[in-house]
Amino acid sequence: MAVKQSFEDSIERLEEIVRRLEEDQVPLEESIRLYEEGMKLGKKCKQILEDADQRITRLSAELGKEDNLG
Amino acid sequence: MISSDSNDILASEDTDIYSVSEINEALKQNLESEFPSVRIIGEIANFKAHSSGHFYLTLRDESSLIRLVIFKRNVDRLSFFPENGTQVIASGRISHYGGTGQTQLVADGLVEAGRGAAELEFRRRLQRFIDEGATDPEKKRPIPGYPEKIAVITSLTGAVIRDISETLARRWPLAEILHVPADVQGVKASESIVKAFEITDNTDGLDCVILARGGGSIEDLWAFNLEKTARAVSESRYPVITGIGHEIDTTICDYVSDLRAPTPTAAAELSAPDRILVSGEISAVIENLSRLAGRDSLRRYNMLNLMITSSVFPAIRHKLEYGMLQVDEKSIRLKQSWTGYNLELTQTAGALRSRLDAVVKTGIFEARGRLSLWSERISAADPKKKMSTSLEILKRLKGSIDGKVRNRLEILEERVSLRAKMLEGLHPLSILKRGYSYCTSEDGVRVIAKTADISKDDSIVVNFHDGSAVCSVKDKRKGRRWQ
Repeated sequence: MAVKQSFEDSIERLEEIVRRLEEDQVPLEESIRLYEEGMKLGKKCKQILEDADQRITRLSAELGKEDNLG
Repeated sequence: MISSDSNDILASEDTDIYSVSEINEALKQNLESEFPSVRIIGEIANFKAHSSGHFYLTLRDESSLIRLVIFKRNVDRLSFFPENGTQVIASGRISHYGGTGQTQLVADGLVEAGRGAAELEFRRRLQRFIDEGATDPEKKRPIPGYPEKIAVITSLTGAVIRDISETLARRWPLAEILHVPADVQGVKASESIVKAFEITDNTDGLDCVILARGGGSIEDLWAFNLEKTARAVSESRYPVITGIGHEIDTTICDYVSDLRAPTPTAAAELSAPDRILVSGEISAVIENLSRLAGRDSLRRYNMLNLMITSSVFPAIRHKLEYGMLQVDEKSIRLKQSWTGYNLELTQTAGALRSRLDAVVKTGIFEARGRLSLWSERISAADPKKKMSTSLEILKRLKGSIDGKVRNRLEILEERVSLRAKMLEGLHPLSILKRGYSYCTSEDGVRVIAKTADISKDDSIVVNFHDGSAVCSVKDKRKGRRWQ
């Protein structure tokens, strides 16, 4: 859950930051803060994509039963 | 002599006398208007494929038979070749042909009764789901854009789970795959799939469920046409992507799922984005951010500069100057983050180069491996010649990849120097050189912008472009000097 939240939310936040910066009405203080936040988010997302390793788990009722018997 | 019977027939005025042609025509009209469209079930007998291309056969049951003709244009559309003894359902119109005095079915369709019944049942079931609204486009749930957990319901072993996990490992390894094994063929399949959906329904945090099965005959896929299976798909807690059989097979599960993929591999592709594309999009956003932030501060700075030098309202000059200082301060911070970003770009370029180098090396290594394999295989032909051609191709390949690496690096370097130039225009010294100065607290931390910031006898620092002076406050006066 944590990865998903951060990834999907990060992407959404990133889009929001760009939209806000495009508005032209952002105070300078905020535009710098947005810029720094955006850079940080972008880097983090790329890192997640870069580092990802697939995990495969098997889920089955039968195996669960066997476990209980064992 | 004429018998009395004959006299009666001739004498009768109640009943018309038809010629043979007339009665056949009358029969034809009556029968054809009465049975313009019928379906007849029976067993094929006396089948004959005529050289004209038409089919002639007889349909019969225990006690009766009817002739049947299938004209050439309909023969071409039959889904199977008729055989004596096969139980079929024929559809068409009844016709009466005077030339032979026979009544027959002019058939336009013929299905095997077994398959026909199944088809009928398929339609009936599908119609029920359509009536319930389970196939409505607005009922289809969207598949999450950046999935983290994907459940895959398919057979325990076999190519399907392997194809799906390989596809996802390549496209979107971020997603964990939960393989829920199920029988996807045979009498227990439906029950097994329903159980698998119970498992996924009871698992938290899934993004979607892929229900997949490799190709097979219609009979093999039948479990996916059963009501129980389709209902499990339709009522699944999570969005379902179906990838069942080949492209041409559409089962009821496909109709009621949230997204239908033509094959299992395609289902995997539809379940997640390609990480290379997503990464590229993020890079584009980062680019955009730098451009926007740069544009913004440069624009403000230039605007303020213009106002200070041309202002006819001295009253606001003070405010403008203060704003200028703030901009300068911010631009220093911006410059710091840019420097960080530029450094990162350079690092990325370096990393890119070494990765591409690795790719080139691996490529060559693999190609060499393949080459030696080829050369073994073609030793009977002319291995030397082929080897040298292949080596030449390899060389060219390496040359073109090297070129690409260089191009990429050049683009990156250009970007870096462009940014550096932009930053120079933002340097705060440029305004101080024109005779402006600003005051800070003695430790240089705080910018002094109004009289309230200082008290009598405070030490303050006046900053010029080439140095600073420590001054002490002799007196404070309210109001502006120039008023």
